[in-house]
Amino acid sequence: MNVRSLCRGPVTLLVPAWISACLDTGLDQVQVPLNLAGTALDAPFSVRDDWQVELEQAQLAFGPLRLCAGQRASGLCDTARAEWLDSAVVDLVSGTPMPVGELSGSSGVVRSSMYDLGIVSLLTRSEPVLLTAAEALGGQSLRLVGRASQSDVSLLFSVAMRIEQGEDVERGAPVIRLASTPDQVHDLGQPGSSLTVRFDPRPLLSNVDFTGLMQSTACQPTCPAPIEFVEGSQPYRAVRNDIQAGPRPVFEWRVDDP
Amino acid sequence: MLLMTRTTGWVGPPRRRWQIQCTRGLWILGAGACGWQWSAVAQAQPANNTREAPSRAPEVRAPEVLRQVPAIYPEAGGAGRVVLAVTVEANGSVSTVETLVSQGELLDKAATDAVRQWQFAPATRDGVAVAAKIEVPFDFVEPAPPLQAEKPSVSVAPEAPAATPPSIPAASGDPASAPASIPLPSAAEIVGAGALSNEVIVQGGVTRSEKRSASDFTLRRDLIHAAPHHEGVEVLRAAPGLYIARPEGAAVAHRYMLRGFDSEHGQDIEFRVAGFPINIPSHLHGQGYADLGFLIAETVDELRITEGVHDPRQGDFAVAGSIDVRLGVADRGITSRTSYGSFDTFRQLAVWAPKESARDSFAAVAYQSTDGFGQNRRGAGVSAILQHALQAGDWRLRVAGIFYGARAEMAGILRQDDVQAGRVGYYDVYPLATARAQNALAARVLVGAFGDYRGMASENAEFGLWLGYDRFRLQENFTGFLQRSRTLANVAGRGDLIEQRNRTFSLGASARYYSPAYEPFDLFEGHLELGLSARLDEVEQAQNLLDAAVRSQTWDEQVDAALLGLDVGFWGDLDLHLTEAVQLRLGLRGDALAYEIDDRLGNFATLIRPQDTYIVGFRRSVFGLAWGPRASIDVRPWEPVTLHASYGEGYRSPQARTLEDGERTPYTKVRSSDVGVRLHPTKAIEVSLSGYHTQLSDDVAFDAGEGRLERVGATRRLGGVLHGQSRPWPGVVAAASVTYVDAELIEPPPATNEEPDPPFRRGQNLPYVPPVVVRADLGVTRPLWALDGAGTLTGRVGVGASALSSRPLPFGDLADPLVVLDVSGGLRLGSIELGLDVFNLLDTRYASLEYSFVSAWDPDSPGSRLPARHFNAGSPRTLLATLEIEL
Repeated sequence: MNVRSLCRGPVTLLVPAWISACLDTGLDQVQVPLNLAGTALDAPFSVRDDWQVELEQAQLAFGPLRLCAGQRASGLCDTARAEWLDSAVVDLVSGTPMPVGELSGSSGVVRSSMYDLGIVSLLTRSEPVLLTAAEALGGQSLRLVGRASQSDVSLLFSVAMRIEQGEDVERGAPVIRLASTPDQVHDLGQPGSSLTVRFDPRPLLSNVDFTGLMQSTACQPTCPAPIEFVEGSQPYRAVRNDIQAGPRPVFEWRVDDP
Repeated sequence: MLLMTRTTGWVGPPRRRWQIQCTRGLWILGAGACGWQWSAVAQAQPANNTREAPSRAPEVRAPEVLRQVPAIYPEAGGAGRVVLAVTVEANGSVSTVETLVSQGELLDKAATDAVRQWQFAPATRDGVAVAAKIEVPFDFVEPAPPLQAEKPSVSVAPEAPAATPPSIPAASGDPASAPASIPLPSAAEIVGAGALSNEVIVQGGVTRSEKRSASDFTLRRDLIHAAPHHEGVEVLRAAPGLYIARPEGAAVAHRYMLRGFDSEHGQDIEFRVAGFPINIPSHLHGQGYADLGFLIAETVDELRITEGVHDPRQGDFAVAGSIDVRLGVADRGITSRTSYGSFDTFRQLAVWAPKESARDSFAAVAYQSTDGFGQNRRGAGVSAILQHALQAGDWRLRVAGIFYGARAEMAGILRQDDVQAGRVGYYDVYPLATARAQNALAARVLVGAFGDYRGMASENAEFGLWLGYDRFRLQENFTGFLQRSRTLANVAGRGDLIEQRNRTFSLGASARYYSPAYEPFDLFEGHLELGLSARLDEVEQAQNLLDAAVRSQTWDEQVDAALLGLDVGFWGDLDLHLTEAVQLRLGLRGDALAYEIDDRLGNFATLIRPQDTYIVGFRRSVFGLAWGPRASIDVRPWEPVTLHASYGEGYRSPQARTLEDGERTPYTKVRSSDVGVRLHPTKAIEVSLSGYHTQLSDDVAFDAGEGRLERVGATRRLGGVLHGQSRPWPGVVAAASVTYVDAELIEPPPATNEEPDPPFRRGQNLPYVPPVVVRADLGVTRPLWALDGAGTLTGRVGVGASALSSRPLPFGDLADPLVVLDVSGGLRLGSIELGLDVFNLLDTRYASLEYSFVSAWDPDSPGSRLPARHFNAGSPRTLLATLEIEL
């Protein structure tokens, strides 16, 4: 017999529910450890036109993160079920989960989520606000440095990208909203829950036209200096598109014995 | 019932119906009487003083009763002799009435009320009318068993001579109160010499009992005024299980919680003041909005609280129960009461209660202003209440008017985490234009005429006609910076300062008739009551978003609507006395509800609507009938014990703007049952214990994020009320109550695609509802010191304590329990009283209300979307000194 069942019994007539333990508030408040992780890459990976890419540096500013009860994270998530309001830099090529804090919220099932990449849009401001993670990346959301090779041709490249709300998107809304996927669904009321959000950098470069990039440069077959993806160029747009609408990070829920 | 007058010591012409009692009953002012010389009423002494008789005794005639209004035997019962000293002026009117022998406030009041309405032919001395003072004793006798006492009986003293009957109207009280009416004596009842004194015997009769359940309470003046009151509505705090807070300042209605219901601004409690229905249907700021800010505490005479629904007279909003506030002024004359205290609080009250009138005739006006106990809480208001009653045959007619206006700034809510982090002070307001611009304005006028008929054999009837006009404007920000404009594309974040405007014009009427007894055979007696109430409300309302930083520019329109509501209620009620110990009542009530809604922004959707495909606006109409039985039974197995059981089905009308076209059940159904016992172990003690179960078909809870009440599904309350009040000694009154409730959600709203996992689930406790409410009141008034030639110094002490248990909040949070203690003291000498009220004596830092919802009060950082605890600060320790002068 638990406390609640006692509370519903005749005991209440003698000891009224002055004690808060006798109140069923429907939901419980929870704290869930949050980790961020990338993906360890042991070998170069293939992208468009069979280019092989090897990443030397891959960092992503992440946060805040909000988990939602609804199937689609959007305006329906005006009241989040859990959230992490901070930001942190994720090493996208390290598979080791990095503790960054705790999600705070209430018990119940989460199904969808939304997050920013270190730069948030406020209802009250026309200009986005940089959080600490983006400041650590020099005001960027994403930094990639690597080498792309095809046959005997190779080039160094770098990407520095701000991901923020555009003028055509609602001010104050998170930049990325994830509709429900099986990996996101979890009951936060399960004791011992923890979440690791794992990112894979490979999809970010999968649609980059390195061939075209190479042809547009004068340094064939090898470029000694890194080529920066210029805003508006195909490589830049491809990365931006994939980070905003491409493959999603994986939500790895874990339940340990409390 | 029986009423008898006897007199003795007759001096004067024979066959007078009223007599002069030279030895103790009459003093002629300023002249000799009965062979003595008197100088003034104030010097009136018992007539056994011996003085030398003058050489020529003047011819003295005592006052003669021309019109005698009977005393009304109080419902609460009681017995004993009340002796009044009555000054009859030279014009025959009654000016002052003093209580020489008291039997407690209730009986004193009944006697005083009656005699104030008497009219006399004045006393004369040598043919010249002069003022006189006479003693009038009233003997109150407990009612006989119902079947015997129903018809009034008359007892005539054996030595009574025949006499010409005076004009004898029937007595009456307030229509709804229906205490036993006492028919006037016939001429033979006013008798001549032989008896010991003038004497009026008043015996209780049995009429329709107001206490139909153990959860019905009548709180009298001495109790409801025992504890200090910061404002008039706080007299309601003595009601068992009722918690009152005023988190939105002095121009917005209080928040009421009663036996498991968070009644918001009145949606679950039917309020009535002086016969006026107070709840306003479909008010924009809350369904059944009941702003009692106009109440002037000093004019509140009695509270009748019906918890639950079991009386057919209970109509719309009687979900948790009904509260009927009776007005009257006990201290006759002109009274000035000036108060000043903490936070530059000032109050001036003036009351005029004509001495020749009964206590329900008076005019009172009160002005109050304050800087408030923290930032942005300045406010001021004025209230005027006028009521005049007169007797016309068997009818007592009453006209009344209430005029009220107030404006106050509001500090609004604060996030608890902001206070804990030191970002804002506990009693402060957010340092933002949108927060500092919060304020409210209220204005209300109610005027009406009421009639109350008291016939023989408990027959009675009443009617009322009233008009009401209410104006309300509010600027309030609950959520900080979360709103987006629906009207203007890409406009957001200018502060969620919501402007609400509501204007209601109402007219209404009510009537009921309670038949004389029907007695087809022994041990049975029946009455039938038929009643009708109707009201029409025309409402204009609007809600906008304002940008306080730019001259309150409107940056969104959210509501613009015109509503018409009609409610016609009708009932029948059988009141059956089956034996002397069993009383059964069976009733049925129906209410026809009709609405027309012109929702001028009803289908507005800027972002998806092509500009030229339709015209904004949505009109609809609704008609429905809410009906249900009301039944109760009383059993008196032995004298001090009454067992009660009751059941009733009531309803709450909807916020009209939420209705769909053609909706057929535009109301929330409530089923309420009570069982309990009431004990009167002694005359001075009353104790009641009741258990209750209430179920609602579709309840609502406040959603601060949406700024409105949201449906949460079917709910039920299971609880009990223990209440006791005692008057152990003269001048001492004490009362205490404990209310416990388990309020839970039994049918949460179904999951939808958009809300697959609603935050409410089956079995959870209802948010905001305190499971335990405790209230205690104590009042002591005692003579302290007799001062030579200056009267008696009287002391007064009052204590009121309220306690609330921890209570659930939405999203898994809990509000803190609270205990607040108020005390007052005063010294009176003659017509002057000095008093000191201390509110929140312990200076407890408490939240008068707490909420849990999402807000964003920092415009420069990403706000949390998690529900957070918010609160309205309760008042810190507050002192108020008062000087009262009776003129």
